Amino acid sequence: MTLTFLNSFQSEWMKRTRSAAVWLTLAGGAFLPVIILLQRFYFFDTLSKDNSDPKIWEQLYGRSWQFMATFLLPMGVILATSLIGQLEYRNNTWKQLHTTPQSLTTIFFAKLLVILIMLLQFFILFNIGIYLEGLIPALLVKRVPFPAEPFPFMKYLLGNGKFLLTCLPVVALQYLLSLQYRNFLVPVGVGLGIYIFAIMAARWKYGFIIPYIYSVYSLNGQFEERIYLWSVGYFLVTTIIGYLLFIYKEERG
Amino acid sequence: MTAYCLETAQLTHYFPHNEMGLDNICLQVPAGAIYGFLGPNGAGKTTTLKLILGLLRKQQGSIRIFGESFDTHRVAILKRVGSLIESPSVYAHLTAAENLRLLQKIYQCPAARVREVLALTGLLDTGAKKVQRFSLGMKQRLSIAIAMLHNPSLLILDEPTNGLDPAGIIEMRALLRQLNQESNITIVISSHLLTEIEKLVTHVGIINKGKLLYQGELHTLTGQRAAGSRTVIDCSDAARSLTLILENGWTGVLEEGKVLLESVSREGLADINQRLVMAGIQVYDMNTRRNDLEDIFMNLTNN
Repeated sequence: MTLTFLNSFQSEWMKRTRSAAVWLTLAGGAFLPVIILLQRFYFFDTLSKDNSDPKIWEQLYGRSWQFMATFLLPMGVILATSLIGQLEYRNNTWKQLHTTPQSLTTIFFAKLLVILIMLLQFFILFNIGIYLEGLIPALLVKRVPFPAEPFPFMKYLLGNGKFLLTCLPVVALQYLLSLQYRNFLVPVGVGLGIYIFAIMAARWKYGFIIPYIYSVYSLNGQFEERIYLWSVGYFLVTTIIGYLLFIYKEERG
Repeated sequence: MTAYCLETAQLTHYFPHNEMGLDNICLQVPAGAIYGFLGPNGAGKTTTLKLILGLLRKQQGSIRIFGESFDTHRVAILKRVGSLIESPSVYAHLTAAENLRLLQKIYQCPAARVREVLALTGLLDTGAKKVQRFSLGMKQRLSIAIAMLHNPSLLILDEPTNGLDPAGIIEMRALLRQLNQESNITIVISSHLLTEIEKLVTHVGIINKGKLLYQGELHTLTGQRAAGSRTVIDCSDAARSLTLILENGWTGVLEEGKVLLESVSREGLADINQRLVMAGIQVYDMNTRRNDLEDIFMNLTNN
């Protein structure tokens, strides 16, 4: 059973090679660090002072995540998850996949795991990018010191873990939609619609019921007491619904 | 009792709005056969094959493959089945070898099979070329390579020659015949191209409007062809010729100044020719038109 799942996962992982979702993950993870690095070089005079700041890593973390959590992360998750889910529709390969000797459960969870690992990959890449934001100026410019503050691993890990949790409901719903609808515009359109609605309702006292901007709440410390638990809850419930809809589908390809 | 590799019983399917898709389809595909599944477009061929492969949820009836129920042994059965349903089903952003490798992972067949099936389908030299740059024929050949990757015992091919050029069709036919004869693979091949089926299959099933109209060995069907033959004799004296023919126990009629005979064997025609010549009648032409499969098919589907 485990071996079958592993083989299925490997197969799904191979499918994403050179796909748009992979490029999106790479570009999405590298985009903000590159912009912030360019910005740091633009304000060349403050480079030395900034790198000597005892809170340099917190500054870079805050600046990077501010843009990422507000816009790029929800957008990236909506697009990348929908793209992975749509891979079979676009290539007309559902019928091929469903005639392979694997259970529907294996197929469903192998695909979901690919999305989650890609999300993790994105987080790792983004954090390497933040690290390089602090390191590269010191490597390239002689008079700029290496960051004085030791890299706060635990702080980064905890912060990233929270942001990762806030992405899970978006992954689950986008995955559900991308498996159900042949037209790519449906999952993307619904995802963007909910995101815009969530932005509009951000200041509403019940805004926490819309999970698409939990990453913003996490950044601002809003509804912190409940959004992580709700994220897990939304993820589990939506995944179960997605799974049931998937296995009881009338036509498979 | 014949061992059927694939058997369906009372397979019935309704489309939305209670529209009848299939009506009591009882397919019986003997092991080792090449079974031609014939029918015009929209007859129910693809629906039947999709139900057999579990691509459509079954509503009524039963499906048994290799003697086991598909409902309870789905994964075990699919390990031994290769399929191609309708248009090519391949990942366009990957190469042919990559497409095969990701399925090789699932089937857990030897890695060397990737190269073997690429060679078998003439795709070995496609190298790093992505499938999106393949012609339709190449994509179709890749789909066939995928279907054969794990050395299946049963191949289910829905219109596999779509998009192939005449040379490709001949190659495909030879390949399927070879697989059937050398590896004893049972093949179910659907088509609306009757000439293609006729040259390849051992058994035939004819479906129209969701109903199976005929099922049996090909030679039983072709037997009807000889029985339905018509011969036209063009000669110097048609009336006297007809009298002579009737006197000798054959049946015939006059039509447009020529003698028209029904179902006369080759030997019979030689005998008639000899008698006419001996009676001093000049025979200009004897033309026999046999009922081909097309006629039989049209008769079945039109009724």
